[in-house]
Amino acid sequence: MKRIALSLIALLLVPAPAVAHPPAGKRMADAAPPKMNVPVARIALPGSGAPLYALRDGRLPRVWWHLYLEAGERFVPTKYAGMSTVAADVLDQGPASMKLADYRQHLFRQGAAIGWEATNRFLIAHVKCRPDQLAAMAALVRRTAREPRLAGGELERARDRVLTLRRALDDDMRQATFMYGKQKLYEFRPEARMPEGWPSSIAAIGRRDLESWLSAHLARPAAFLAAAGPVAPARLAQAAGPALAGWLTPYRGARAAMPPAPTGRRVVLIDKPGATDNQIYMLTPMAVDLAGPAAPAAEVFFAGMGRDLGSRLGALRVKRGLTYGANSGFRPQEWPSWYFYSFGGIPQTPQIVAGAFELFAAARTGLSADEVARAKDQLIQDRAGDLETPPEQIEAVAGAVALGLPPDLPFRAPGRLAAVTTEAAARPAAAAASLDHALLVVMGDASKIQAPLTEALPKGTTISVKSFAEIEKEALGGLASRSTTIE
Amino acid sequence: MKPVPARIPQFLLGLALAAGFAPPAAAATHQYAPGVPLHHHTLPNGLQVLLLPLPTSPVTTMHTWVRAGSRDERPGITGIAHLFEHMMFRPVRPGAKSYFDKASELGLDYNASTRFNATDYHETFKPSALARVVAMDAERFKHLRVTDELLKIEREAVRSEYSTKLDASPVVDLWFQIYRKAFPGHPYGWHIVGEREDLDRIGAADCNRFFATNYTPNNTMIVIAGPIEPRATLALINREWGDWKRGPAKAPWTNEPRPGTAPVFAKGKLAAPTKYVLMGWRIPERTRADRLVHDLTDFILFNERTSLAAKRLLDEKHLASEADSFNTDYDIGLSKLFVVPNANVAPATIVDEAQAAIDGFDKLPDADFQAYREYFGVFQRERQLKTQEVTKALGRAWAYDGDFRNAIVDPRAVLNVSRAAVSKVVKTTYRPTNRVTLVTP
Repeated sequence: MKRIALSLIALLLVPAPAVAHPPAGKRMADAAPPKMNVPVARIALPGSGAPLYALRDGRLPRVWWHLYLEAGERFVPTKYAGMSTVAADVLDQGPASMKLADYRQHLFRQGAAIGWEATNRFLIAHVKCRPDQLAAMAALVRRTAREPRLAGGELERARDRVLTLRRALDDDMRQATFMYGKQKLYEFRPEARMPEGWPSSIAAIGRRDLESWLSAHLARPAAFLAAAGPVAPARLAQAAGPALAGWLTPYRGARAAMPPAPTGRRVVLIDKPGATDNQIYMLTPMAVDLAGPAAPAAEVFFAGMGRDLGSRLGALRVKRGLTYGANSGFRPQEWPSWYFYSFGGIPQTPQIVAGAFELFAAARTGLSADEVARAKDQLIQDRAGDLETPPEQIEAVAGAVALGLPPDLPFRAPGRLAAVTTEAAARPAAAAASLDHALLVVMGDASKIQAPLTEALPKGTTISVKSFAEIEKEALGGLASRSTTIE
Repeated sequence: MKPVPARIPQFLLGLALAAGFAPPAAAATHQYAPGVPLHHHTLPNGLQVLLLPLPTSPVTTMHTWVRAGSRDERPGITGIAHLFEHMMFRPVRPGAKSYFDKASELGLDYNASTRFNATDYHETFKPSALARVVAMDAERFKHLRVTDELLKIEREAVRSEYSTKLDASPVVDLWFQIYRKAFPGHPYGWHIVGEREDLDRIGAADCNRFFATNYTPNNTMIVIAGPIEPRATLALINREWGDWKRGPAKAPWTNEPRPGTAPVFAKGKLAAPTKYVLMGWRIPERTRADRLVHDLTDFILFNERTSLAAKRLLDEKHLASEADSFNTDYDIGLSKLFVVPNANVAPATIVDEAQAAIDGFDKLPDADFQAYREYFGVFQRERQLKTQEVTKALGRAWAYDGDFRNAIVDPRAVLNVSRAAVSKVVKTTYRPTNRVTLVTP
């Protein structure tokens, strides 16, 4: 479950990026980006054959490891959307055979931390511990998965916590807009579902439902382990392997085939009565092989369009003063897409939308060589700055493996980005300009924003106006909306 | 500004500048970490310079900290520090290229933040861009003239910042309101963003006056970390910034906020279906002597899942879904705990239990206190590995505490913090009468 508001709240020149950038490489230079020297070992864990991806790094006295179990939200029945997050919360409380206070105190005294997270595809145990605690912590993770704490009102407590945090996400217009947009993009298919679920589906989860789901998905899960710390990879495998033997099966990393992109521009206006600000989020599917050269080319193009205030979309603020921020980027997910994000007041919002359309249309033949060069520099720096520490590096490795990509791909990003030519970076431009498959989500007070937004959109565009209750119903299988087509 | 070709290899630049133009500057070298020197220089005009050569770092980062923030404002032009910070990215004179344009040409990653008593400008860039970044920053710090025409556009951007943060996010609203309630009549009370109506009152002349008064070399520190050559980098800084005219010495702030005498409990302005509780305890200005103790205390009481507050509110009493420290790196004046209560839990109960968790510090077993110190040590060392974090922390310590050495992490120092020292901070600072609580209506 996303945590609330605990990232830095600051008064900045430029708003924080709308979407986290993908993990990538480490070192940079002008002429030829140096090859990164971060060797990733791959070893089959003894007793299970599940792959271990390991980095040896002695700078910090802890091992950071992540156990990815293929038991995420996509495997949950629609009516129980959010169950993977409830499962993660339950597992976060430790095994049923230990008192919660004892479990927490045990971890604390050992200088260890275990946290569980649900994603679309995985349940993940994130562990930080001293090297000599590796075997014990692996055993504790396994014990927790085998003995989830569900009795005595524990499931109900977990469900209430998740429900509280889920409702809190709706208080944040930006988060709520993103959550809807990312799932609507692929019409709420299981592979596009976010683990946060919906209030009504979370409330519907009963103890037996969760018990049976956990026993079905955690009995012999496909899994992989990623670890970094001051220990040789072989020793990591020897320490963790026996504790996990007979439980895990090897994760193969097959990606789900990307569905055909929905045709026609879709526009959804989510009604938030009383809102004075509007959130604007546009997403477009983009079939790209993340391991191939088209992915860095797409990154470069969309960074060149909207990475900072000096890029083309920055004009919406710098030259026109319409908004505090407007940016675009490429989303390297299992089913990739690109996005445009901005926000503004009621008179500004239609101008921002129309202005963004114009700017993408004007870029249909691509960016200039200078713009491409700048975007490449920025992206290489981003990646480098994101991968300085062992925990950052191993998270990037795990993220790549989870997407079925080579584990060292993040460390090859500088070279891949540096190799992008102006011509290659122009290839995504035409599709971006057409917006034929775009989904535009605007959140705001429909009574005030619908009419001016209608004016800003091309004729023939259908706007679906939905309340929060209606988008929840839509996500859970029952469509309901008030649609108007602009004549 | 003397233009520097973009692609001069840095070692050549070093040879040229170091041979002929070695700058006169007071200097001292500190140990940032074993084998990692930190060079401190004071240029004749008073500009402070910290250079941290990290040969294996993949990035170069430059922070320029000015000891001027919302604390330097007066009623009527509140928010000027923040608005002015935005103007620093506009052209230094009509017709000139803006910082936005120049930064984009260089492929910089840049941003800035205004705080209560400081403003931080920063860039991350490829090593070969160092000379141009140093030069373009010097140009705007020395020569910026704000015009009403450009101010008009930027004012709209700030207005959008108001609407997307203060008017739309209940959590940001609580952040704003807690300072208003904790420090009435003090600059912390009108917060960094300022009073909304003042935004229209501030003119270019106000901005230029604020600039002339506060943006002076003797009120500024540059910190650069990355694969730099210290001598050449210093020469470069001296060349570009050395002729910046020293300003009048800035008098120390005398408006230190007062601690509270009675608990404050108030509601925010933005209603939300979910209830949030934000508690803050007024903290004194920190010094080199007590910074570590205060940071460790905040860590033990509020930071993440292992804190005393989280243990009590989440694990023992099952009252909340989340409890964590709030915006510690950015804010001053208050040490804060943010809580998302579970359904049907009254905010007053959260407040009582959070205070009980704090008061429980003295019953903490010695082994647990030792564990907290170790956790905190690893936490600090992890951050120390990040070039951008290191650079920011050094400047922040100078701007906030008056001593950059507060950001030099010494694991032994953490282990030497005594229970008695933490207990004293808990008793003097985290008492109910010094507490301010804001809840969503």
